[in-house]
Amino acid sequence: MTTTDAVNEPVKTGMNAYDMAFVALMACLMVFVFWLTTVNYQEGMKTEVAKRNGEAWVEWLTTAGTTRFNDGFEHAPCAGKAEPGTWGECAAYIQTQTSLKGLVNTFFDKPPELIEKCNKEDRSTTGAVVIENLVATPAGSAIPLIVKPLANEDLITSKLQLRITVCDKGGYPIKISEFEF
Amino acid sequence: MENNNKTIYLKDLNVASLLGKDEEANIPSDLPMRKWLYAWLLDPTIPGNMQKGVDKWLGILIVANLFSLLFEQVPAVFEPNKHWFHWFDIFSVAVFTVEYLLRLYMAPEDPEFNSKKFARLGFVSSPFAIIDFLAVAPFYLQAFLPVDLRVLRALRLLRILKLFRIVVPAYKDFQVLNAGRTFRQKVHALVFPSKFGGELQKIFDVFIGIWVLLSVMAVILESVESIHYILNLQFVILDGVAVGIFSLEYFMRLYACVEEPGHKGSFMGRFKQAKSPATFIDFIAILPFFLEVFLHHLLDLRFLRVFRLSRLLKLTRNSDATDVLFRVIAREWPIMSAASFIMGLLLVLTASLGYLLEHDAQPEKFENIPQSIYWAVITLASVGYGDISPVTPLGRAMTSILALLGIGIFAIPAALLASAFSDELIKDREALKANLFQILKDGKIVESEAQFIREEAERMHLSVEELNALIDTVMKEKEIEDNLKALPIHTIAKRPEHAIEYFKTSISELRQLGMQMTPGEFEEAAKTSDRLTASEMALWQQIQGKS
Repeated sequence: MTTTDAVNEPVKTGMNAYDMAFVALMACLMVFVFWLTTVNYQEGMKTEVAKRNGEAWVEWLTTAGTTRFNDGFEHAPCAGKAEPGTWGECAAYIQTQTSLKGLVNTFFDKPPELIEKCNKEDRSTTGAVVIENLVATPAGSAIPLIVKPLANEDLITSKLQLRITVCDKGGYPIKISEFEF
Repeated sequence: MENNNKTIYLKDLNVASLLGKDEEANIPSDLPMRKWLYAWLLDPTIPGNMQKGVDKWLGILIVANLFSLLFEQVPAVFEPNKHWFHWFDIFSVAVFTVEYLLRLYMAPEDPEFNSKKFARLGFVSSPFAIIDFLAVAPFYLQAFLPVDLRVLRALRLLRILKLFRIVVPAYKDFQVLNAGRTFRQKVHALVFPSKFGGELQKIFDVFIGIWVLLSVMAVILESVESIHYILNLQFVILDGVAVGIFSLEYFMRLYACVEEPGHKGSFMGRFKQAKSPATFIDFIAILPFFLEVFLHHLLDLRFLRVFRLSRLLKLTRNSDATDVLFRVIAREWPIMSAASFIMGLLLVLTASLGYLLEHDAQPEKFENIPQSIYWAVITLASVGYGDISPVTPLGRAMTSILALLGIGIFAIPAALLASAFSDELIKDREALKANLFQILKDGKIVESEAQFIREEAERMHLSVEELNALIDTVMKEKEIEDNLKALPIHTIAKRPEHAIEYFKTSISELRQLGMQMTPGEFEEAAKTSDRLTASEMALWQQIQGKS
């Protein structure tokens, strides 16, 4: 390739082979960036689906939380007066018998798991749902709330303050909402 | 430019006009209303009228419309602010309608249409007018016809076409400037500042600047959890588009850089360009995107996202502030490195002493010397977080001394840099003064000299008043020099004020002599031929500001 210093020579102003190769390379680059953006977008969509899953859990538990202490509550395992009244029974019921049974974790094409916490070292937590119990500490404590994962054996026979998060593609938590159940 | 091929004589010199910053357009007030309005608002040939301002503000409004359209697609942004979007739309349509009607009214004054039998009909059927019409028509259409909101939004996208009114003339100008040039030279003219770039190169710079600001804003907003939650996908798209644009720019620069002076050779020239700081920044700006896509399953590369903020550094390409900073640091490096050495020495010594004096009293805080270095830095820099503080009397006494020393030690590099910056500015102005002296010597300014003055004034951010003052000083000095040179020495010696002026002029001439020569050339020649005494050499160096 030459530079333009040779001013006295007649200049060919059309595109030469190098120019065409450059234009072709740029076109390929644009297609490549477009493809990568599409891949990113699709991955982003999976995270969006995980968020919608979390929101569906929030909606179901919030709605149930308003009536579950009433007599005749239709979802018996999650009722405030249920026997034995553990979270494990309730969660299993929600995942198999309610509208939430159709939820899909699109990262793995299977129902979203309920896990204790997101872990960026463990990619299998991607798209999973974390439900935590927020327990108020006595007045005057330095920390107002203690956050602990809702375990299967935890009792749900009283009102609970819950927080739902979902795990994103990198295993980082995305907070969905805090609510009363 | 209106100053092309003009010679300006000193008696007619108008600095504002020389810089292309004429304060007022010369438009007679007794013109007929339509002619007068056209001259003020739309005539691109009258310098100082409002045409450029009108174009600029319309351009900003069009870009704002584009963003408004984009955000309307995001329900979380659009729904709570619906009425603001609505009022902005009304405002935009009102402005664009007034613009269209004014152009229609003034069409008979426009040289493009006034030769036609029906000038206004010519305007209405012109491509730009059709675009202008399409930009506002959907708004009025919805008043008469039940148009689907999505169709209406799609039609509003046509407003972006209004930007053609700015881009097309710039492109035509670019084509004229680059007639007979190769494809690569044209790419060069577009991405690198040169006399072939014209308005299109400026538009390209503004376009890149807007995308830099947009992508940096996106990176900052992404860190806000609540915003990221809502706009995750929009950020993905925005980053993809930004990387596409920046990648194109990067490769265009690499491809065309061989047209730059000092970049000969298809490989070495490009390698030289690739390792220049500005191009390296361009590379860093796009790298995280590609790395994250390919390596995300192997490593957690989230930290790389922060490097997208380096895109902000792309804006330094249009300013020489970073060059000045590097020049200043390089010039003051010996003193700064000495100051840094003393600082380092003091840090290690005081940290060690702190460890010795405090370790027994607070083993958990002054656990080791590295931890004490943290305490010493925080104390020396007068930050004083207070998380580690001495409790022993000796430790406290040493901290008092350390804090006082810190004020001085940290002030040295800051003062050095400030004074070096100031020196650099003075040197630049002195150099311009010396050049002005040469330029004004023949009593006239030819176009190439005017161009040089314009470029230097722009580079040094000189206002009309500042340049005027500089030219006045030069002219006064020139006048005195002319007068004094005609007089013999013994006559000058009779009047002290003349003697002083003669002395000042002589020193100024010697300074100019030094500036015109290659650095070190004079000293080298004087040393090898042994033509100057030590005191003469010392005086020369003092005059040149080197001692």
